[in-house]
Amino acid sequence: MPRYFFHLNRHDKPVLDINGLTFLDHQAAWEEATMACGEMIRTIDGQLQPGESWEMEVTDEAGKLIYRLRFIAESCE
Amino acid sequence: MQSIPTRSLDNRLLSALPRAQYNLLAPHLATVSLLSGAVLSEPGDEVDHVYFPNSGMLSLLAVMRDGKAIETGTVGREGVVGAMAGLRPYKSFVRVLVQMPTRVSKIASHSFRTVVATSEQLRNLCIEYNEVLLSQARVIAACNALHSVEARLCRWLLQSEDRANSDRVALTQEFLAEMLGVRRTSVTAVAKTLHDQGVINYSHGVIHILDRHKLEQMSCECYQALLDQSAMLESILSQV
Repeated sequence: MPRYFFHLNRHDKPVLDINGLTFLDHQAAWEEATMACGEMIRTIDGQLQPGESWEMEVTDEAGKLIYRLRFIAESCE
Repeated sequence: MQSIPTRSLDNRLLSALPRAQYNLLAPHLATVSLLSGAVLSEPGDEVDHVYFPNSGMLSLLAVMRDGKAIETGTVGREGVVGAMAGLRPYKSFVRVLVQMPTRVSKIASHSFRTVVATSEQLRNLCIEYNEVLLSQARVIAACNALHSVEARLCRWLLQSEDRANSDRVALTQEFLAEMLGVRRTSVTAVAKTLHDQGVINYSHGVIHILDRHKLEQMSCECYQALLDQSAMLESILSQV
């Protein structure tokens, strides 16, 4: 099964996934990414400021970017 | 003269029993070592043995229809698993999982019932112990709903370290994810963050706690709440 890597970028602090996880295909990796993002976004608290962002990048074993999920906080005034 | 079996002092419920009560149970108790990952019972199974841990930890998991499971309680040497079987034939609603190498004193449910029928003290213990599990489940239900994966993972590592009596806890990512009811990716991200901050070292499935004080700060209040509750209930149980 192909191995996928789920890297995080929280308020510009990268958390690199070194080991990765194996999944059947892109679709299974997408499901993992969306569900994990849901769990982690749940913990965003009042410290998040406009202009900050949070993202997850899913890459394959060759380092090719497959998915990116972004949560962006903006002030629109 | 018949020799009196050696009293197992490691399980605190057994050691708190008056000698006469303990002597009723002792001939039926067998001490066995359980391997990490073993499942003692599944939801719906009739409880055939009652387990008094002498070391290590047993996890009580709620299991969903799709196979997902989440920890709703843990029992170490302060407790017992399956005590309700002392009152009547009893079906478990949880999966009982051996979370780390664990030594238990076990007794067949029917033998336990025979002894409990002759002892009001043991009967009370079976009833009162439900309060321990219920109060634990309340804290964990609130914690799972309200607290971050990071705080919960910290809480869980502290509990496991206490139970394992070692700052090295052998755990796979899959196992941690299941205990906390989250995706493996969330566990990886949180473990990596703790690793980068020097709180833990995580390699090859073994978590080594480097900074317990920091881990306590990053854990939610539930770690302390569970400790306090457990101490309070233990003192009540010892007087049953």
